[in-house]
Amino acid sequence: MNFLTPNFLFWLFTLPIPFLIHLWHKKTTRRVLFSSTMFFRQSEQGKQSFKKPKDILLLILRTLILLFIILGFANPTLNKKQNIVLLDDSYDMLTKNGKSTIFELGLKEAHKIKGAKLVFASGTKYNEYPKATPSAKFQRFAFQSKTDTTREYPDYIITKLGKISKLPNVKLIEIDGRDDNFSIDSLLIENSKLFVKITNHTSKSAEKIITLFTKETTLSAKVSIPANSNTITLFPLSEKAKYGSLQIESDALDIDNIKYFVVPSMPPLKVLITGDTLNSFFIENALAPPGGNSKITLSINVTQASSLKNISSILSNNADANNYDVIIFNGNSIPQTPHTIFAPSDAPTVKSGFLRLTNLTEMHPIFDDKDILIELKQARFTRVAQLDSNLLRSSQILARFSNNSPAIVELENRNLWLAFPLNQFSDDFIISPSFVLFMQRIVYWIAGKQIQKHNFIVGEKASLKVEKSGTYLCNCISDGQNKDYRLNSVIESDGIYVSLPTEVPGIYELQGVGVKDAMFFAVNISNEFASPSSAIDLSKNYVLIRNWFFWLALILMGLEMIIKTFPRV
Amino acid sequence: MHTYLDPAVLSKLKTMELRARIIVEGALIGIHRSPYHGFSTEFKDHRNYQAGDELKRIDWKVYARSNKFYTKQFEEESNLNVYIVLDGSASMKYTSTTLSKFEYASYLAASLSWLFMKQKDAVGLAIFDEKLSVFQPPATTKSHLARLMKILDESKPSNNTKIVSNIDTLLAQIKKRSLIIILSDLLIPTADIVKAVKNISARGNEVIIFHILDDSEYKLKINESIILKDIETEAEISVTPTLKSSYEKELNKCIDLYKKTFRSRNVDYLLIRTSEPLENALIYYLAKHKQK
Repeated sequence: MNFLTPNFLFWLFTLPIPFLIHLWHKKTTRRVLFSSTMFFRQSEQGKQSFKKPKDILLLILRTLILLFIILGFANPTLNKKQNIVLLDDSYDMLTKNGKSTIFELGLKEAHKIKGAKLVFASGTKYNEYPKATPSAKFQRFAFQSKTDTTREYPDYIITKLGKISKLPNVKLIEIDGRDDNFSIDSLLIENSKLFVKITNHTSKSAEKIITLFTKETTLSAKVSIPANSNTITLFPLSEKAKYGSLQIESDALDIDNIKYFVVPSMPPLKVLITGDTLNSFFIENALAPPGGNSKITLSINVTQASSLKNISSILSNNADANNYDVIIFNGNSIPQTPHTIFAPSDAPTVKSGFLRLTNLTEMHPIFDDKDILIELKQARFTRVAQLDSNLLRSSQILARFSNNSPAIVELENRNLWLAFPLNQFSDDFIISPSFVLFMQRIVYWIAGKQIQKHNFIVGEKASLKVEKSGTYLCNCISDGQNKDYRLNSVIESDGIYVSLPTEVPGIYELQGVGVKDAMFFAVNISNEFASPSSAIDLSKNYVLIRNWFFWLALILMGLEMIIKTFPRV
Repeated sequence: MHTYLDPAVLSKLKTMELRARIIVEGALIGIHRSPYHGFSTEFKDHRNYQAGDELKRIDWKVYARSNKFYTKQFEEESNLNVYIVLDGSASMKYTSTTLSKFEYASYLAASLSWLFMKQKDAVGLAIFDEKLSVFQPPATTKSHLARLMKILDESKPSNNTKIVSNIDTLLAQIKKRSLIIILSDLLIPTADIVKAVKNISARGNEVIIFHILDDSEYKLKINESIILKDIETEAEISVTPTLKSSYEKELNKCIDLYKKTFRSRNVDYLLIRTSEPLENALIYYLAKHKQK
């Protein structure tokens, strides 16, 4: 039993008071000679043989009453039986398994555990939002958690199948959805032949289909791999082939299962770069798991500091060679045409693909271990507007906006996010409730509830409209000029999450500490006070039992009164 | 008159005899009747009826025979033996004022003695506590009265109360049907009282019981929690004001029982509080005997 306000326990020093009163009373009671006490003994109330035990009983009762009242004011709590559930929130948990990601499956599993306190492997606390974490970090966290006193040792670990070996005293819940027990260890290109070394990390031999993707062709081969061993297979390469990738047959997107290669003689690749002319560029591409709809967009901001000279290579693979769209510009040949767009909307039939940038000085968080979230936790929030109650909605939606970072609208349960980048003009970007409503509609659209086009006004200076499915343009009016900016497609993963230190519905401005020149607006348009973490509210991990003590005290008071009034009781 | 006969005032008088005389005289003034005639049970002769004579004294048998009214004349000097039995136990010394129950009972005993002696009746005295500590057989001489007064004056209450055995001892000494007057606070088990009275009545004796209580015994005066110490047993008991009602309930229950029981046995019972004038008891007695 713990106490929320243990200061009240100071008053326990008053407990001896009933004893002292009793002793004092006993000492000071007058003794009077009387002719006979026979009538007192005969009378019902004068059953004085009970006097002493009754006194002692009353004394005990009064002391207990005092004790319970003091304990009640100290707000005693009982700890709930709480299971610490460590959920892998690394990026590859976004692997699809049917309609859900295995991360969602993991969340469902966590909710099935009674009294689950959810801890995300990325290190975020249960009342914060998950952050994509490289799988290696999860491994590290899980294994170190026992010795890391700053973290709670988990009772359960929810992770991908075969991702982690079982820890002692920890129940491992394995979420099926991928197969990462096979890896491509090395590639060798010689004489237009690609040699591939494939390792089977399981204890069973298996047959796997290895697929070669190049612009010119796609080849598949079935390879038998002995248990805990490796095998080498060979693919012919076209003479024209300059780059490509190899992928082991898998139900899931798995970085480890894909190897990219460049044929040594291949000329420099070019990638389409969009963005503003002077200070920032946007490289955009679609990233989606094989077989799924293209709902994941990777948005990378390459600043001036991260000069394109540092981009040594960009490898790409596309299932549809006709829609292969990756172009790389040399550092000195940056196109001067802004707003050139490369996006899934331009390649609606794309089913799979991947973009990797190397040697960037600023990496997208997907590839970066840097914990931006921790820095943002120091941010100061100021409520700048109170939402009109007419605008409140039953669903809990959180929207956050920042300069050069995704703005996010979120439905409860954190299943759907909408992200789009705002550029430097968002410094004077005014968020209006109508904008929030629009964001809500977009979320509904993503959820499949309705497909609509919306025109809306962002304050007096900006507007955003839906141009077509999956792509939105943000039209901001700045310095009298209309400029369209891409509202990226829906992203189901990643994002920078912050916890609002307030629950009051309204629009909040965040003066960020973690991101330079960032301006965040957080909007809570729920119809009740709600924190972003209310979807999994585990903040109260105790039961307040104050009233139990007050009731006990009350019952004892009644008992004391009965004993005083009816001595026979 | 009451002021003069206030028990507290009487206690200041020097001799018990003087107190007794004053009490009796006071009582006689109160009832305006001479008690000195007609109380004897011995018949003397008849005389002609005269206007003003009480009708109850007409001898109707003589009238039936002679068709003339004659009234009965009784011997003034009777041989009625009266035993005054005084409770001398420790509880009798309790008082909430200046006059203890024992002193009150002593004055009453003295007054009765004086009264009976005036009637030429023989008066005896017995004082008991655990045992029969004083026993003076009845006599009619003046010196006997003086002796009784001296005994009453010098006696002090002490010890516990045992009534049954002492009454039995007393009855063993009584040879003739007598009037036995018990002066006691009756703070003894009810069954003992009833048994003692039954024993007395069984031998043909007439019994009068004066139940003497202090005012604070009759109406408890407790305003705070106190410890009461029993004078006789020295037992201590913690008492709060809330116990007053139950105490009085028990006491009244006991008194009602006495009244009921004694009435059925033709025993006269009078509850007297020490704050009441002493002559009340005498008036009660005289009135009772006047009826008989």
